[in-house]
Amino acid sequence: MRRVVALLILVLLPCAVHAQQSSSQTADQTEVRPDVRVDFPPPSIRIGEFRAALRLKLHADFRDFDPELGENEALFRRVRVGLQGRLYDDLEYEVEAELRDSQHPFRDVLLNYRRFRAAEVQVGRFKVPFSLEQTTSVFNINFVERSLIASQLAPGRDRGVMVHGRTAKDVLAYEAGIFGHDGDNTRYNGNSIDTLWAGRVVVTPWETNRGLLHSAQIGVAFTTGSLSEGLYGIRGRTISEYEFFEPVYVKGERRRLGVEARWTPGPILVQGEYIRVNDERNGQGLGDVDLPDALAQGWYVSGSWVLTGENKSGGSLSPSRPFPTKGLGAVELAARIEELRFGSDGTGGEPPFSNPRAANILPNRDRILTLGINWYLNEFGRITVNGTRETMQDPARTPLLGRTRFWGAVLRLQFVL
Amino acid sequence: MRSWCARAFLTAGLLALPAAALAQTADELFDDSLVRDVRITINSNDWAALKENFRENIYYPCSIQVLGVTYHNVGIRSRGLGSRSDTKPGLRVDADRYAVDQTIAGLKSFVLDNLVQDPSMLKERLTMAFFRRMGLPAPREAHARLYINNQFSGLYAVVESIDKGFVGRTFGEDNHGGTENDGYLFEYDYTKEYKFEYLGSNLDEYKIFDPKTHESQAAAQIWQPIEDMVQTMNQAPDSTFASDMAKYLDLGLFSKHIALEAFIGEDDGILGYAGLNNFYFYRFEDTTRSQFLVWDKDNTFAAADFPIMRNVNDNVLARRTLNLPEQRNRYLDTLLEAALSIDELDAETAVLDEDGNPISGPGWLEREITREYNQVRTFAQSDTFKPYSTQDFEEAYQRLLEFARNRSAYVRDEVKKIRP
Repeated sequence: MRRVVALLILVLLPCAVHAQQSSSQTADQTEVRPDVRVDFPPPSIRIGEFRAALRLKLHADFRDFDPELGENEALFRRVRVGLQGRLYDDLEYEVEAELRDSQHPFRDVLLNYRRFRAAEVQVGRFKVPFSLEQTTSVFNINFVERSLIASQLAPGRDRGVMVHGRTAKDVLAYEAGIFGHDGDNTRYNGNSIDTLWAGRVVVTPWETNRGLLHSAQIGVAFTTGSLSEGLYGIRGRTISEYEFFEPVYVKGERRRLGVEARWTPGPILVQGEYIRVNDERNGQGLGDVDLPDALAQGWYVSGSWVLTGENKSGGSLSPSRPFPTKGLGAVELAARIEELRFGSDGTGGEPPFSNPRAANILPNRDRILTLGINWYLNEFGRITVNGTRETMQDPARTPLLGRTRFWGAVLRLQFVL
Repeated sequence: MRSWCARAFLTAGLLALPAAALAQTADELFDDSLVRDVRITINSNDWAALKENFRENIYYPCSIQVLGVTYHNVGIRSRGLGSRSDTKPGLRVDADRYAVDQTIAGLKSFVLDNLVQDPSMLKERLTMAFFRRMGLPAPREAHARLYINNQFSGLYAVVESIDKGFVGRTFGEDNHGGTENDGYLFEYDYTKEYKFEYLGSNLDEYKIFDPKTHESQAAAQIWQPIEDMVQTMNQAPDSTFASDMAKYLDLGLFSKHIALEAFIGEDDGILGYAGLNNFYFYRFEDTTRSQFLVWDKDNTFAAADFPIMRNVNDNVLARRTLNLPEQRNRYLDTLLEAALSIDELDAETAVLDEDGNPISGPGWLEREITREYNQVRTFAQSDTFKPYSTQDFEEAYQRLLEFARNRSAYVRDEVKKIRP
């Protein structure tokens, strides 16, 4: 029953908001005083230079796995509320909280000083500049889940300060920052790094060209930080959150390298990334010997095609014939193939072993093919269906002992106000 | 062939290589004619963590060298109940903790007993040898020098784990012609003073029998037969007690077991001073019949005049069993057999009569005590991790000798008082 109610709410909600917006656009842009304006949707207010907009974002998922893995179905996967705007023209702010997370509800909490486009300064808690997909909002990606490398190898959010900007006629964009720890994505065993340096450069070589390659961009990113000694190696988890690779003991430097590319010619999007994480293991062997680096690496290539022809170069998609007022919305097909693998950067002259101090770490790999369809109802709502085929390397380390192939399906309803 | 597949075969081959090449067997590991070296290589942080968290069963990876062969990918953890120690940890060695199906000398696991509760450092090994000599199954043991990262870390005993391997070796074939090792094996988990009183029908009460096989099965399959057995031993009428209990236990074997524990001066066993303790319990495949298995015998040799009927009347099973004349006789007979056995002379060490028959001299137990003492003395003295002095060790040895020389006479006298 809860499923049906959630389904109805999340389909009807964007339709209702859109209908409201279409039917009374002028009525809801109210000038209370000459310097005060209230808008809807989203509910927002402008008082002089001050701006504030209330945001609401919902995700409801319906999952199924074959074989049955006894996973805990999260009906409402995300329930986020936020406030964003400007304190004055040069100073932006954003606060977003996840209501389902009672322990650490805050996601983004930041101030951004944007006086100089070539050198804006951001401070607070936000995403470490690493990985194209990780730094793209989960409400704007083409699939239900981010790729494994983006969600498990990239740091995610942390407290820090960052300089970022665009220059050379927007051909070059950069972000460079220093952060308190290694990000939320690797915090499962506690904070492994006390100071993380991160940088990302994205080049759009044909930015000034109006041709087919106009939107093509390539980027490179890095992070580096000193690892505390302990069981802080990166773990690997499947879609169903089974831990197929357990953390190993590390000490020394953690170095991430990421390479990314993206191209959005009209209704088509092609995107790919490669990420490699080296964790040093100084003195972590049996008898305190140094071990070869623990190595986590992976890649993905994804593509999508908006059948209804809308342009996707901005990242998000707004249907030209929104449902229910002008048409059926927009429909997009998407596919992604990806791999995440773990092991060691060298054998140490030993055969591979599974223990957390093995010189030659027994490798494991997860490879996933995802096929999906996105139905953008309107600018507020989206329905996504993804089917996945997951193939594991080591039959002894899978959600079901001895079985290496798993199928999954997810239906997601999204509402963003 | 795919690269991962090739690596898997390579790994399996390399893991199998030590045992295959040198054909090590558990018999070699437990050969008690000498004291072996066991060398563990472990990260110093892990060794420090193991000692710091000695009350927890956390596994740490290591490599271990026994019988000259190094085994990688092995797990060790702190073990014991009262014997847990942060200076000289008792260790459980699991060969297959990180490597499926790996064995060390054919064993999936074994124990490195830290010998901290027995100043003589001999009682456990002597007791197990005594039980085997008297025809009851008991783990094999041998002393070993333990080295951690090439540092001598004390005199230990290598003790055979009671597991499926032990059960298979001990009981041989099952009713179907296979190996008898797929029954229900339990380790008695001492949590409170308990003497086989009926605890009611709630199976949770019987989880003091900690399952070591079939752990994931339904509670009814694991503990219901135990609850039924305890209920029967408490509620069966005297007239049918023997036949009713025959469904669950061989009472003759049980009488023998507790008689041997009494003979060897065990005050912390089935009839322990604080209730049941220190045993495993094995329920055979496809039956409700079970057998007690002796375990952890470092509190034996209490005194040469240790009462032969101590705590018999406190324990429901022992009291009702020994109320049966047949079992009472079996119990007393076993005591006399044990007395005879430990006094058995040896032609090489005894004084002989004219016909060459031994007529006096040290009995089997005294000889065994002296043999083991001579084996371990040097290493026991240099073991700076033991929680007692070398003088304590020497005095404890003397008390063992005293026990060996006087126990039989005392027992014979006591049996005569009960059964003239």
